[in-house]
Amino acid sequence: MKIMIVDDCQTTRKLLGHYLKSRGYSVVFAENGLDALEKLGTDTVNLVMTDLNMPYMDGMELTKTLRADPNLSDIPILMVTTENDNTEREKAYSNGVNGYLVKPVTGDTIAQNIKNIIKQLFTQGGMQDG
Amino acid sequence: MLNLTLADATFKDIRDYIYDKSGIYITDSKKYLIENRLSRIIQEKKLQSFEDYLKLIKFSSNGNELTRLFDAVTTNETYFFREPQQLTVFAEGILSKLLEQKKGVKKIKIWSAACSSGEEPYTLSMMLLEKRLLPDKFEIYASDLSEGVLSSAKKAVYNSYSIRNLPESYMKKYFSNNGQSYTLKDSVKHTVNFMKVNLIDNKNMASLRGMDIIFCRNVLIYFDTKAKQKVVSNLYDSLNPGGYLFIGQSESLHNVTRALRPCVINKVITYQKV
Amino acid sequence: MHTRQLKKLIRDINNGDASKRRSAAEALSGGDERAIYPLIRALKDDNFGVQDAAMRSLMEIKGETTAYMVLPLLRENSFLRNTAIMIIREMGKIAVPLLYVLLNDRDDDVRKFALDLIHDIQYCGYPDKLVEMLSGDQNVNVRAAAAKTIGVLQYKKAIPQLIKALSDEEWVCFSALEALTYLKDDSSLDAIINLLNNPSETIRYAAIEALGKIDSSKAVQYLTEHTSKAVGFEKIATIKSLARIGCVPSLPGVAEVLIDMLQEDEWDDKLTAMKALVSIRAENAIHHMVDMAGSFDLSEPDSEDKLLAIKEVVHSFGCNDSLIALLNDDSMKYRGKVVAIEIVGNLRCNKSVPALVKLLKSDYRDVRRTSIKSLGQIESDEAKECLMEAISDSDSHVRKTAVAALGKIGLMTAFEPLMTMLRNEQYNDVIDEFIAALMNINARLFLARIGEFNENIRSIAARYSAELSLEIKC
Repeated sequence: MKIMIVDDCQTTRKLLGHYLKSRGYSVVFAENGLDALEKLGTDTVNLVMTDLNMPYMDGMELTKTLRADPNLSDIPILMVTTENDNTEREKAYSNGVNGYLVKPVTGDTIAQNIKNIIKQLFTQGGMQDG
Repeated sequence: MLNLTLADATFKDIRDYIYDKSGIYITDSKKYLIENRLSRIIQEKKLQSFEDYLKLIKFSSNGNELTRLFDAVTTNETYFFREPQQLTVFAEGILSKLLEQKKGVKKIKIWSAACSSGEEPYTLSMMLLEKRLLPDKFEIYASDLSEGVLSSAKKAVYNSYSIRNLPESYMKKYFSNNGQSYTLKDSVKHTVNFMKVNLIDNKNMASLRGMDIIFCRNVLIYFDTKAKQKVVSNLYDSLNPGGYLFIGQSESLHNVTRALRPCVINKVITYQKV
Repeated sequence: MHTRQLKKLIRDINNGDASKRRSAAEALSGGDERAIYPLIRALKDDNFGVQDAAMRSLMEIKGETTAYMVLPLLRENSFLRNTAIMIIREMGKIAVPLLYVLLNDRDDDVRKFALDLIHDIQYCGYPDKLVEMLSGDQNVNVRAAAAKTIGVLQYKKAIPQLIKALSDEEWVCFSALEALTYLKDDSSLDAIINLLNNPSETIRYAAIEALGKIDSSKAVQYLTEHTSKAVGFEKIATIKSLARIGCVPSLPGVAEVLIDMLQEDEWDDKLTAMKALVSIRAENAIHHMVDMAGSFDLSEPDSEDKLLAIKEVVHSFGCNDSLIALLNDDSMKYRGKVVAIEIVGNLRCNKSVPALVKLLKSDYRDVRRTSIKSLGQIESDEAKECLMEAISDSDSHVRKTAVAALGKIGLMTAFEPLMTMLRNEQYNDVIDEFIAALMNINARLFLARIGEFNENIRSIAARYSAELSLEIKC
């Protein structure tokens, strides 16, 4: 399974990358929402894990833009951010994210959330081919 | 044959001169490439050194030498129907949106900026001819920095490399085959307006305002971030509100501008002036 | 900028027409402090083009006043906050003193953004405050940001605190580890080595990576010992780290790991692996490297440099059986073969001659041409015989290359065959090459017999002999 990690902080990208690679996922990186969109044009991923606050295009905008294209709207999105704010959380879910985690977060928590999201999609029958 | 070496200081001078004139930035790693390509020109002109050549460029009265230098410095690997996914989004997605938007309003203008030897604008033209949208509904403009390349674009004679992605039906309908080469028929040639434009310099872009779609593919890679920002800003100003910009699929605007909003259609990104 | 013009632009930035507002915003980049407030207001314009121009102009104006006036935007919505961050980052060092007050803010995120900004600007006049936050801030993300920032500032006095932070929560430990990697101080080695017993696999992995970046003999020693003990993921990490330092041990399993590294996404990792494979003389890797070289998409901007790098690496293996075997390998892509052919030529590898001779019959033109060229570089007798054969090849470029090679060698026995072939040569550029070769071998004799050739050839020869006298003077 391939996961795209979108975060403007290099250290965070590395850490999240380690968490996922050590659990058998393959990983691609992007620095912000726009970078992510540009890469998703040619790369196929099974899930997007994104930060909220990023320059050029933040996580909310990225989510909205992905949900607007029929070809990408099925991609599960897991938001991982420092914002521990209920309004932000609700806004994220209403924009279409499948999960919302607050940093710092352990590798196990992330993996568990990813598994749950994928399972949910399977049972809903809306799973995109990997 | 003379053995010419390009001194580091001269390389920097040439690089700075090219950057100044066109915004194109040549990285250190391309030094040997420049050395090779310019050696040929220098020997042809019977000059003795790169330094002499740079003097010639700076002080020659016509722009031909400079144009030739630009030619030598940019690698152009272009062919018909390059990056077909983008072209499909253009033809099936964007086109109908624009026709709706611009009902009754003059013509829809398309600009192929950095058209090189013409494959891109002619591709667009053929696609529009197939849909019977030319010449009534559209105008196609094409530009490049190099006069040499523009004149070969106007001649519209191509080799088998350029046409390799072309569907058979297009070949039969729009080209005449003379042995090794393929010439575009007049019906296509006459649909494109060619002009010389330097993307960094918004002075000579004044005639290219009011564009509805701009293709600027695989040329931004030659610019550093600052120059890219200038070029994209100029392209933004040339677009009509609601207009679209297509850049190469492997290219990026993510450190360049937030003025254009990315639209994703069938996984293809296009940037809209909203 | 003249006051009148400035005032006009400030009016225009409120114009009803968006493109006029945008031009005004752009032009205000040349303004003074009076332009700042109107531009900040323009950041909130509905039109993205206006916003973008305003942001760029504020970045141009720079100055402490700009930074000061942009700071309040950090508390607004996320879009404005991100804009403010981008602008302040551009302000650079002068903004940093203004960020101090934010480090005491009640909002965790504000403290974190301030630290991130200092990290990006890479300058801080109050590093001890950062150290205080590293140990004392109540928020994990803030402590991690402090560690990261201290690292990039290379603040050595903080090393003891960073070492303590290795016992903090995983996110902080990871950042502290990174920071210590930047600082590259031996005093941290023992603490990092200790982390190899950490229950978290991620931390153990990060520690191995860190050891690979702190280039010290103690680290090398430890890593080398660890290679035979470690398994799976950790073993791979250990070998990678040693490869980065350039001290890969020649132990079983190492070559395989390095060959896997060739599949990594990062070019630097691939290059590191290749160099390491040369150092342990793993000739079985040559096949993979040449295959990689043959697969590059040459229209990508960096591919020429990468190709060159791979060729250099394979070259440094010297002439060997694995390389020669590639010449006979039918499954190798032809572009990869061409690379291999080039290299054996440059190495003047005599043993490759039989394989090269076979390749002269290849269907691929580039393979034939490159084989001829390489044969020209290898000065064995068998090679010379092949070259003589090739001067009558149907492909003009092959002929040309063979003739050039013979000319360079200056082979006397080639003189007559060259004279014979020249008589019938049609292509001017090949004629050129024939003449050059014959002149090189025996100019006097050639010119004496110039009457044996047609007018075209004679006129080309005449041009050539004029140039030649120039060359002789040099």
